[in-house]
Amino acid sequence: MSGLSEALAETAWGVLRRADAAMNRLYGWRYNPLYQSGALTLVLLAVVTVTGLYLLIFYRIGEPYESVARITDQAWAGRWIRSLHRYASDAAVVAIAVHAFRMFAQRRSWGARTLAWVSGVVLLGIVLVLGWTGYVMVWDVQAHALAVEGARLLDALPIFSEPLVRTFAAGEPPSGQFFFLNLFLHIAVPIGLGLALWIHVSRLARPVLVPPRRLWVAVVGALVAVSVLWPISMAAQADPLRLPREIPIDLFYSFWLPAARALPAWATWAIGAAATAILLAVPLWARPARQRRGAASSVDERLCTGCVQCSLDCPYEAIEMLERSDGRAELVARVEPARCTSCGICAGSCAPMGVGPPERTGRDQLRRIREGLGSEEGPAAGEVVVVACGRGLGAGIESIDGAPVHRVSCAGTVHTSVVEHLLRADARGVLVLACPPRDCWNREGPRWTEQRLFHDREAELHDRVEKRRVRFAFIAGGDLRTARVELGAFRTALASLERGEPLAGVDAVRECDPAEPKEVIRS
Amino acid sequence: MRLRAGPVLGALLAAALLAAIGLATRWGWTAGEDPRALVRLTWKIRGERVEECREPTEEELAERPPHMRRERVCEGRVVPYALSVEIDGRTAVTDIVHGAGAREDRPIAVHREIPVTPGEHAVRIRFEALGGESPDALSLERTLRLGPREVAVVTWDPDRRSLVARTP
Repeated sequence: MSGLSEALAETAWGVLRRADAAMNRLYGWRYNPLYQSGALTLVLLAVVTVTGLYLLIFYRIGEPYESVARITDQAWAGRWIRSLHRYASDAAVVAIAVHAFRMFAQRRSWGARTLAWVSGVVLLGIVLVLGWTGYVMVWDVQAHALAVEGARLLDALPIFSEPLVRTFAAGEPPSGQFFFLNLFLHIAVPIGLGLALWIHVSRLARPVLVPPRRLWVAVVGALVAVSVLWPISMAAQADPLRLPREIPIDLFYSFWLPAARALPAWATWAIGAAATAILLAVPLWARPARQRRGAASSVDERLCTGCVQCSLDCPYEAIEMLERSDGRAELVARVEPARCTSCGICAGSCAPMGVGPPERTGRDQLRRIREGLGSEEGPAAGEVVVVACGRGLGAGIESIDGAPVHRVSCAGTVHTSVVEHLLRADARGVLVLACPPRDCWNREGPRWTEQRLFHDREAELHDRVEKRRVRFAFIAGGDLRTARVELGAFRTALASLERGEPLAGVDAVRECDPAEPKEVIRS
Repeated sequence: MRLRAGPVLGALLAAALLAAIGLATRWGWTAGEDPRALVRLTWKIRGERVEECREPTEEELAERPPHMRRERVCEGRVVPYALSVEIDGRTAVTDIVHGAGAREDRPIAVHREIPVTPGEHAVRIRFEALGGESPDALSLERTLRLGPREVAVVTWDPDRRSLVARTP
């Protein structure tokens, strides 16, 4: 099983890398929607909520089909808002699927992330239930099919004393009580959605809930455009006295109807239960073999100065500061192993190098650099050294256009002493290639490293280091072309520097502006 | 101004995705190739109830709190009903239907669907209590005319207190 799951995850990661690289070329890493799948889901659900509130004003439980038909007949607002409600709901399912695939491919579904994965599966289930109750509200032929097949499935369970399917098969529409209950569920279930979402992000520090403005404006604008140009029309009204030959269904929410109609109820239940069990059990069957699971970070309390930086930097709130009892500095860091994903970002945050996963603390990083420099494989003097994320561009790459690649588990783990040491060892320059911020497997690694290198975030790169010999770039995994361009530009800038020419290609914003840059300005 | 390929391709990809969503949200599903019509029997009646009463023993009374001690204990159930359906003189359904619930003491619910070829059909339904003091019997004899994929619903009409058939 471990081999199969590993092969699955590797294949998924390969697909994801190629998709990310392609989308970065189309949209740039800042606006790549694949990186923002989680936040985009929230935006889409917000659109669904707002449009739903409008539709609620005009919906009547006593005449469900007729009231929706009146909404659809409203030129301008009603028809478009109903269409936007539908399209945003469908797009939300797409975004959820992309998000889940991404988390699986990046192996962010087990260990400390188990709660997020399981709550995510629950969230998907809630969204599907919301979709079903929403479609039943219309009481067209699709709604009737959903209600009948759903009732048939429930009747297979030894719960109800009479067949539920009778409610929808007696020759007359269900009573207003049924539509009231359905409407109540459709409105009340989002409360469960909010609770599940809170749990979903509860173990994240600083969860990103909103994508960049340009992106969500573009997404919402595109949905509005398709709602106006291709509005949803009314299907035929539900009629228990006729068996429609063709029913227009929404594949995102009614995908199970053909199977439920064709198979006995027990088979449909078995397939659904198996699929749910497989999804919920991903944290078990998709986790790496024991020897490949990273161990939690630990703190060397002799070195810890209680500066709280590791606690601040930890993306998973796995480090807490406790009071000391030995009369030294007030606080000491302590890692909660159950929350630690072994990302190693804490190692890069600690000036005295007192915290980090085994074999990846700041001291371990320096030791490896020194060993590398002393070996034949180490960088020769006068070469640019590329420090690259092993989960991003650095995966499987030993050099780029003659520049050796020093692979790290995450750009966020890089201790600034490593950069300084490379330059002292006569490296011509150090180019740090990190994954785009929203693609980082550990969420905040690239952001913290950039701030440590150029904006005095602890553990900052010392002023004694010539920062013009250090460059930082966001490069998606697999995007070797952009990496070569970045390396070429860096080499050109270094050549100008060495000739004593005006500072061509210098990142003036990073040099002069202590605030976090929004755009990289090249002079 | 020269358009760069990236944004143009990006816009085209977005349009293609939206088109795919638009198609998927109105996917034509062939729900039923079967051209046959359907006779659907669906009703719920209280049913004939039989009770067996007895006096509780002293031990049984002692086990109960004072406010729950009764002079007579009655346990009831709904008698089973025999359902028979003939279509064009041929037996389509013969079944015994019991009261709902584990103790068979809840109202009886019937739900059967019988496919028939489109056209006219003489339908004879009988739903008869098996036992009880005044055996109940519901019946319906009618000629139903059904087109392809049409449904005739036979149900209990509480106003007429009889089975009725509803057709398109």
